[in-house]
Amino acid sequence: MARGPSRGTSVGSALLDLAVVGGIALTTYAIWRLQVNPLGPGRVVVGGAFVLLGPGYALTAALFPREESAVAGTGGRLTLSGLERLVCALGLSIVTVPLLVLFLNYTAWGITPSSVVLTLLWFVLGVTGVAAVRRLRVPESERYRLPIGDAVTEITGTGPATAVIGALFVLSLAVAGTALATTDGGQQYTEFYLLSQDDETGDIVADDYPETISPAGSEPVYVGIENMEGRQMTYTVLVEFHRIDTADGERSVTARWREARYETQLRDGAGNGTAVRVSPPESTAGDRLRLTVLLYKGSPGEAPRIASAYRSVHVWVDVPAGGGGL
Amino acid sequence: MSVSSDGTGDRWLAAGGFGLALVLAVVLALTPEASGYETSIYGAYPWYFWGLAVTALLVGNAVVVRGVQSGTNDWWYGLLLVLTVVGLLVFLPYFRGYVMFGRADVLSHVGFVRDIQQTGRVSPGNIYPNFHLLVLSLAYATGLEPQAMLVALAGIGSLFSVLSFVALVSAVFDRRRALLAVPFALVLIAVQSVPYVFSILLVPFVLYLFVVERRTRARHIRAALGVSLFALVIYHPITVLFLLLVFAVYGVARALHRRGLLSSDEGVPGPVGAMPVSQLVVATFAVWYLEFPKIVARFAIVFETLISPGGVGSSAASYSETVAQYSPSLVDIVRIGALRYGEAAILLTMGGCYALAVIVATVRSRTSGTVFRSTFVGALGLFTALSLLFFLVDLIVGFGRPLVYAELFGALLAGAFTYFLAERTEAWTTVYSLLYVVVALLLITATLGLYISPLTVGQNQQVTAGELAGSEWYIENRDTQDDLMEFGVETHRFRDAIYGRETYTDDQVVTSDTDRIPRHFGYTDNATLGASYESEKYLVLTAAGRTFYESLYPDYREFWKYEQADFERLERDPTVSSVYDNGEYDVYRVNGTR
Repeated sequence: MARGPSRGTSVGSALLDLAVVGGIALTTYAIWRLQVNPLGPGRVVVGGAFVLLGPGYALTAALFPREESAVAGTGGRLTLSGLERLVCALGLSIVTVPLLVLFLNYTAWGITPSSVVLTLLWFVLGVTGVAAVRRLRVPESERYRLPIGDAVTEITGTGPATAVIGALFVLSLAVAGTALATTDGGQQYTEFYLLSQDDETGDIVADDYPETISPAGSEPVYVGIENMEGRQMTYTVLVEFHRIDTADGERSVTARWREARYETQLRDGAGNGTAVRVSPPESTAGDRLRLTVLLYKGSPGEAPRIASAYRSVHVWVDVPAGGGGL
Repeated sequence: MSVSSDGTGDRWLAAGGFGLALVLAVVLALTPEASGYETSIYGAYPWYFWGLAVTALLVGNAVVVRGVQSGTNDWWYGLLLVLTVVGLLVFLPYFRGYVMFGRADVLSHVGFVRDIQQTGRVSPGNIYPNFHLLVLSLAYATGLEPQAMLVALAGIGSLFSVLSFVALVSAVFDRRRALLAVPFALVLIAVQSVPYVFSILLVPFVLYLFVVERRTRARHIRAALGVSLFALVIYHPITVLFLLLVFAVYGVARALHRRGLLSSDEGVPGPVGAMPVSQLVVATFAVWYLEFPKIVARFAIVFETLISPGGVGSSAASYSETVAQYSPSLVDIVRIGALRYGEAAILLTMGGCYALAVIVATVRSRTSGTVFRSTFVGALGLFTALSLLFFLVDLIVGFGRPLVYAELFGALLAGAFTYFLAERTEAWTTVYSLLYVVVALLLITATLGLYISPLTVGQNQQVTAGELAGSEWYIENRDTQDDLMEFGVETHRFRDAIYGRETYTDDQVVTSDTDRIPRHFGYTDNATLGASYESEKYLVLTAAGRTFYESLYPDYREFWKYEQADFERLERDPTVSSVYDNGEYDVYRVNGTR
């Protein structure tokens, strides 16, 4: 677990890592402030690094400006390996960020997008500045530098196996990243429902559904459709009365009457509610008839049934007098 | 098991592993996203996907272990491969296109985040806001929705736990023992994004700081440790309490070493500073948590239970009752036991054997190693004992909480145990072969037990967009006077996620009781479901509920509470109206006729 740092000479190379951290912070802020995202899904990577790496990296750099630190009072030496610096950067970010935001909770600013982003920005820039000053005060030979040169030498100078590893690693990340960036939440669906009018308040609710409908009169039921299919849809709605009888212990539909039919077209994310007035014919009369509302994508076909419906809902009603069926 | 002197063989081995990782990524990219609720995430991908994942992890760990012999730094490629494959596995919910992952607590934590979004303040009942504040910070910085960001935290924490585990073993052990411990670094990886699990993932980092601080007494590290512990108090109280126990064990080990009761391989660290870290943690803990009466009450209950313990309600009682009631087959018991507790069994066995070896060596007056090794041995013993106590006695939290710590210390000692075995027997090849077998078993159980699934008699934690939409429709349109019965969904959790955990209104109060739904909807005794009730009710059923029994208990049909025939009969029941349907989530109105 050894590391052999290569040394540059310029101040620029000594502060390169801190400049990158500051750049990430400023980029995140700019994207947030301008509400323009030229990075696409890359914003997740930059924003994630801003929160999960930036504060901790700046703190680690500020605390350990040297390759090897002398420990005051003990005469000992402390050297952090690359892995340890990475762990400290991530860990200190994870513990510092929530505490900074929690502090906002007790201020007049509160916890808002602007207060959070600005606080983290100033913290990262401030601590990065401190880290830069501390590092530059250290003699050049003792100064910590991110061993980028070593890493490049390692990758380019150690034969084909390393190059293959590098290529496969990058390719794996690219394929996985593309797959993640193109997920769309997966599920497409349509909400289909029945509502009724509350007798007392007049509100449209999932309650007070009609229990008795006279052939002479009519009752409204509210049929709702919400299109979440990810594309424009044309739906057909059928309203039917079903008589269900018991034979050999099994309850099945023995008669059906078509009450209404309509089509509606909805763009993605749109919904509509239709008040359908139900006026059953005399022939439907009977107790506990199932008022069934069926939803079909496009046309329902020649002989539409519940089994072929995309969605269905129903309520049970009594229809006084009459009999017969389709 | 020859290794070329320049380590080229290891690099080609790692390249092969990365080839497998690329195949995994391609499979993930080509597999269509979930179109609805799926009973198992393991069923979503072909069997060879899981086989390749385990193989790639094994290859990665083999490269690390071979680094012990080669002496090169090529073990880094193995670690990178392990991290790559773990990264693919822990982010599977994203690849599946799940809108959220976690059907219970996770939804409530989304609600806590929503509370902060809506009010700009941490809600009064939010006892561990750090987790929510980190989620919110990430959401604001990345532009993602908080619920999407929340799911990612478990994966991020898992990867971090692996890295910090490696840093910890590097700080405690010599190179060989450290590398031999790396294959056990997957001990903590988890996919449940809740404060407790996330806080556990930070423990190796805190222990790393603790070890380095005690070794070097560097003020910088002490400051980092202090901040970390302070933050951890507000991440989760139990994690900090258990860490305090670890520090106490360290204190005892240090005292034993200083007084010569245990011999040492290195200098024993002296007391550090005027304000010991533990006291700082206790003070912070008291100041923060004594503000919350619920927490105080819970600790009071735990204390009372410890004073007068009883087995009723304990995990042991629950397991024995289940076995007695349902007489599960031996095959099922072995499968569930292996996937749920196989990892713990392996790690506790290895750590336990090493602890025994240390104890025997100490009794024979040989060296006792370092204070930290003694601390790890002591902590393993303590948390194993605590796990047993929590298993036998109902202490509100399950025995899994101390068991995680026992597993962690078992994992930390596993590398040293392997080295000990090889050194004593001088059969390095045999011991390494055994190590690969053990690691392979560990990887199989860790991979197939990573996600809750029917394999472990658990429901996939996927949350569908349909369930969220359905829950919102129900809460917005229901008559609040009528009771709710539900199966396959906890509506109050979805309420939390949609409206906030503490900022929902009186109209959004949800009370429900699944137990009030009679078996087979009462059709064994009555012609209708309504005959079981005196008043009107809402009944909510989801796809997860409809498939619950047949996917989780396919061989125990006689115990199923509902069957497909029961669900179909609801559609023809004259006391049951179907008023909402989105393919995933159904709302019924039941007319009570009793």
